[in-house]
Amino acid sequence: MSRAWPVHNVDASAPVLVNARRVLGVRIAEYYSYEPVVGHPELSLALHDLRISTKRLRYTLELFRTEFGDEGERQIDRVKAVQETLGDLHDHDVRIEMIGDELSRLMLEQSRETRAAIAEASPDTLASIATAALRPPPDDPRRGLIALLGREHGKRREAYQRFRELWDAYAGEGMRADLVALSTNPPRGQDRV
Amino acid sequence: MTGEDSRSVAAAIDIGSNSIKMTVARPDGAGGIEQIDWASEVVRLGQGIDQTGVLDQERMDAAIAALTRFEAQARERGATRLVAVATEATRSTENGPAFMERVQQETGISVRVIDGLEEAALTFRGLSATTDVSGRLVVADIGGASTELIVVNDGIMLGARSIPLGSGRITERFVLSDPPTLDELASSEGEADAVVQRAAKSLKLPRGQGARLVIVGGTGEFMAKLVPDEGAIAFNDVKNVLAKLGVLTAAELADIIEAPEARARVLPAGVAIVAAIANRVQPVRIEIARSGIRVGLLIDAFSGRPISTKAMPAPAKSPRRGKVTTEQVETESGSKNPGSGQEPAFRAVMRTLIGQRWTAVWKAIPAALEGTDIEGVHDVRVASRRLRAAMDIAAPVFPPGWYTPLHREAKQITSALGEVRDRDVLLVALQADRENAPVTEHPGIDRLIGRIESERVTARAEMERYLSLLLKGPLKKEIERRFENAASASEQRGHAQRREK
Repeated sequence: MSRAWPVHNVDASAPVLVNARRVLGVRIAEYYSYEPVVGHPELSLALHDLRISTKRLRYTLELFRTEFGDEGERQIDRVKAVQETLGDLHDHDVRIEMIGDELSRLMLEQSRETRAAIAEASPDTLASIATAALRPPPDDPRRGLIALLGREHGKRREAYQRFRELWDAYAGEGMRADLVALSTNPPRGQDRV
Repeated sequence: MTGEDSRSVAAAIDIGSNSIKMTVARPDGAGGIEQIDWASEVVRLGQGIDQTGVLDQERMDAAIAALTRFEAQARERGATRLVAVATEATRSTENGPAFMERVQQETGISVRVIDGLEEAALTFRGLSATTDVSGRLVVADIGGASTELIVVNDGIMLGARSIPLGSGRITERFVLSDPPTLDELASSEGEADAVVQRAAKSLKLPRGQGARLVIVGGTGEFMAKLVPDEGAIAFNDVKNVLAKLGVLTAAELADIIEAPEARARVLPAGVAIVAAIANRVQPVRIEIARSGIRVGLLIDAFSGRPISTKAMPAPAKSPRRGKVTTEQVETESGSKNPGSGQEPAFRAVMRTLIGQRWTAVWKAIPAALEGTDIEGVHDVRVASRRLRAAMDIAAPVFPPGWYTPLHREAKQITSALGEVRDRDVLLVALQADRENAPVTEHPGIDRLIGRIESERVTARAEMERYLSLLLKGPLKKEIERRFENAASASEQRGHAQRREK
């Protein structure tokens, strides 16, 4: 997991809004530094890092929500929605890894069992062992795991699609500019600096 | 160090799963040690523990015989103190405690069974005495039954984890032939890779970030005899060694590495573990270190320092943050004298926000411990992430010595719950999938559910232990004093000032 970008210019004696904007500026930059990976569904680790940076951005907005006002709330909703789609994507990645891991274990066990059976078999039973190994019975656990893996890949594709559509929709609405404005301008109706 | 200490000789014994090793040394006067003698015997104490869950009688007898010889040898070399520790094979078996009692009765040696984290800390301390630990490195202490993985940055231990992956364990499960077949070596590497992969996430194991990989333990020492240049080992060299091990019998290998045949037998699995870790870390180079847990034990013994995981290197000082002192923070916040003090605005606000977030963590923990609703664990994780976000931001305005340990603990909470949360989510998804799946797929799904449930039980036990300690330990009171009480004192001062106005 990537580390949070450090915020160097925090000043203990400065007003909260000044520091809140400085922190938000860094979190926005960190979040959009992942923009190049958005179009690459295969980069699951980088997309996971994007998800973490989304959380950091959201929690910063929430931490200083009294400073950022209503516009801050609108951005929290957007960031939360992106985070949720990335969360779904990550859940599928975890499942795919665990199912694949189990499938490897199973195949290893089965090949060891087949080798042991062949070693002990009489010449006239060798053919039936080979047939059983090549054509597993209907209740062979491999079937369930392979089918599950296929479904997870399908669901992951859908989850990525949802994330991508949301990202593009917010980009079209000018989310980046809205966030940057929040980190540089006072909230509407307020001038507290 | 006292004058008596500087002349004294001590012996350190490490009872591992493959070998029992001893180093006899005296202090070198510069905080390190001067080795006088050493001994090593391949006992294979961990043999068969995965199948039986207990230490084998014959192996225990062999260990006691070796320890008796070591004790005499240490005395002969003038050792006045003997420190001994036992690791994975002893700590993970049912009759481990009884074996320790027997060792005490029959040899007079008092052995401490240490956990994986302490094992890693001692290894790192020993390693730091002889190896350049600057920059980014991953240390792997590969034993017979466990491997300790340590992530280091500029001499600071960022994290450590003991994983159930050892050369003896892997050999018993996957290596049946002599010499091992290519399939067996591939299976060994595959299993090692799966275990390392699982640990990598929570440990934040670096990948291709210019890190060096330092191998500690017998596997590294013997592997060094099979590479062209020990000073410049690359990943391909490790793969070449593995290929070489596929054509050598244990007896032939024993001749080459000058080790007993029983030790040679488990080396291929050990090298497969090195290959899996190197594949994951993608280090700039692989190094072999010959100093580990016993040197760490001796350094502690000579310095009079209690052996504990707390004695890790202190975090590096940051000049930027060094401007604020603990004294200043305690006085300004009024945490020393409630009602007094006047803290800078932003720091006071952050103290209140961090205090509130710690409170949210404490409130969420009981539901996670109860375990009736999977959202309990999720809520603690979310609360800890909110806390971390606040603590990340406020780090520059608090003194590092005062703040960093609590900041680190906040991070630890999130990762301590990750393994359980992943499995909770997966189990819910698998159950839902099973309901809609054809019956022919049930055996495979059930098999996976069984494995995940069993891993979840282990992960929950570890999480419950950690959270219970956190709730009962001194840290909670200290956090309340520093953040929550100070935050409420600051709020009260604010109310009083507003009333005065």
